[in-house]
Amino acid sequence: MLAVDASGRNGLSPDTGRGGAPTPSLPDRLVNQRPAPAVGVDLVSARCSRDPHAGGHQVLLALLFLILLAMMGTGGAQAATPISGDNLHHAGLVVRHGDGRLTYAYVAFQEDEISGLQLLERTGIEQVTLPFGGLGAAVCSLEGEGCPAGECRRNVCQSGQDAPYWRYFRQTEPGMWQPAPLGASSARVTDGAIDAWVWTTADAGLPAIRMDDVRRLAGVAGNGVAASGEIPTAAVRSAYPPGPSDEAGGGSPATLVAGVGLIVLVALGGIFAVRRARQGTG
Amino acid sequence: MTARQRPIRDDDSARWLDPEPEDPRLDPRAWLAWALAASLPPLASRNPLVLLMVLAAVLGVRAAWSPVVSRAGAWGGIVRLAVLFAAIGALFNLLTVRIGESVLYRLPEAWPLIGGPLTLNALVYGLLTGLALLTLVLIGTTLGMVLDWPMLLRQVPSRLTPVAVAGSVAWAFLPQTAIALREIREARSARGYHGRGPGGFVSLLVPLLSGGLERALMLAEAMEARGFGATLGEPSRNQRWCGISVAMGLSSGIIGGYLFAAGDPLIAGAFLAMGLCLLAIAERSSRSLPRQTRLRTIDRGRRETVIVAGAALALLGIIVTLIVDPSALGYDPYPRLVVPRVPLGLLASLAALLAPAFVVPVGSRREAGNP
Repeated sequence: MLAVDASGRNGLSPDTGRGGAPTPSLPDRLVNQRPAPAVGVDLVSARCSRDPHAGGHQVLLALLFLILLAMMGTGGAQAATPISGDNLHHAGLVVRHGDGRLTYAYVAFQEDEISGLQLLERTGIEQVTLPFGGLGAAVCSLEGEGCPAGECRRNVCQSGQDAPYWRYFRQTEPGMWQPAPLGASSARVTDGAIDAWVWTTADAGLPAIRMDDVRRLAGVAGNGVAASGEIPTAAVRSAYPPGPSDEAGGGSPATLVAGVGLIVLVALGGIFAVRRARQGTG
Repeated sequence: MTARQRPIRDDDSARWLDPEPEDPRLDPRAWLAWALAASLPPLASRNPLVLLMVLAAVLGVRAAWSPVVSRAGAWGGIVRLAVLFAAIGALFNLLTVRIGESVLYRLPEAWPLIGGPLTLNALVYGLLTGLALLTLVLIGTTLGMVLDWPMLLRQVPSRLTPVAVAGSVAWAFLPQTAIALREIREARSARGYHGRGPGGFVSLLVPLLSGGLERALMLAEAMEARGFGATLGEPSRNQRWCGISVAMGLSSGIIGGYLFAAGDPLIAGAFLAMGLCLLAIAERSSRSLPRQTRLRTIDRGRRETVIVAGAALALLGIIVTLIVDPSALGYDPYPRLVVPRVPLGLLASLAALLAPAFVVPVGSRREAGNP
């Protein structure tokens, strides 16, 4: 309640600034909290002023509220100590779409560990997730690819045996992408972890990737710490990898000219044959 | 050596001055081999250079043979229809496929089905698919134009005659419908009726379909009356099983051909071998069928040799490419438009598909065999 009133952003993270990013955990809220205690006081006083016999309660409530604010302000001051690269952890996330598009995200967090779902949420990537009680949350859609919530509720986008869905992987060793058996809500992400969400039915189909690669591909310069000393916004960047056509290459320009020349030669040969045939048939 | 180059002889001087027209009818197996070789690249490839090469060769052959066949015009409508379908297919691909980096325009996302980015990549892929479709239609119509159907039917083994009869009827339906359309239009114009709009189309449709079907049925009856596909008495149980084996053999052959074109040569080989075995079994048990009397044998000459050699060269190029470097046949414009690969060896072998254009009979203007 306090975070909602204080930030005025309906629980969205002021850092991410993206719609759909969920409420950060408590320390984040304290760090991002902008003090607006007057709002709470005014609300209380306005409501209490309607009761003429409630003057003592009003003072008591105001005092309690001030005490609470003071306590929280102290905590906030502790949490808002300047953040350096030493006390920040980083994790990488790769999203591979069905058409091969790759999205790289480089996320900084202050906790020792967060869940896989929190990592995804903190990237700010457009997403649709559905809670399944104690089983955790399921990812239905990422960046517009996936299935509607209704279908996701029924079968988690698995409409058929070969129908793809968002699978969650973790790189345990370079190039070794293992599906996470417990799901993103239960998976623990620590410093240096690289996770992946892949729209597939099979394996991840991702190459070995290092954290430096993720940072570079996500477009992060330096060590990823904001100059203001706050936790930096997650860096996210999408790119298409080189396709088979790129790898195969179109050959040298001379080869291309030769190929096109061959086609032109055949076309000219056809014209010659047609003229010859028409002359022959009179 | 053509008729014009024939040396002057005393007893042949009159023929030299007025050269004897060459017979435009060729061994249909040569044309079938050419059509098979020409059809494989558009079935198996989306490489624009490969498609353009086959298209250039097919157009050359078609244009060169048009003057010596009178039925060339009957297939024109089908080609125009194929062009229309190809254009619609390209447009459909552009409007429904969202993948690709080269965005041309963005339709509002709120629009159902077609809302979203329109990409050049989707347009290119749609055009390539349309080009392949058009090439296949041109190959089929060229084959329908030049193939001597009676000669082909005489070549078919006895067991396959019913299949050949049905195939002839099916193949003849479209051009005969096109001829019927022209005749109906002319008749309506002669009566001063120019029906336009949906009403005119409906009044045209019924006689068109009935006319086309009637012509095809007349053809089938004429062939039945001449004993094509007839049996001696009631078909025995053994003959029925033979009929089934023919159907299965042909189906296996078609599946094998498709799998081969789809780049799965091992399974394709198994299917083709099974199809050949089934057809061989059926052929062996066809001795109870009436024997066909052939009064005239087909003379295979230089022109057939040239066509078959060209087809064989093209087939060799395709098979080697499929085995050694199948990626040379592919082209993927998603997500980024790139220059296609240039398989020079394959292109050179496909150029041999133009060979029939150089063996057009001179001094002849007749139609190459109507069924």
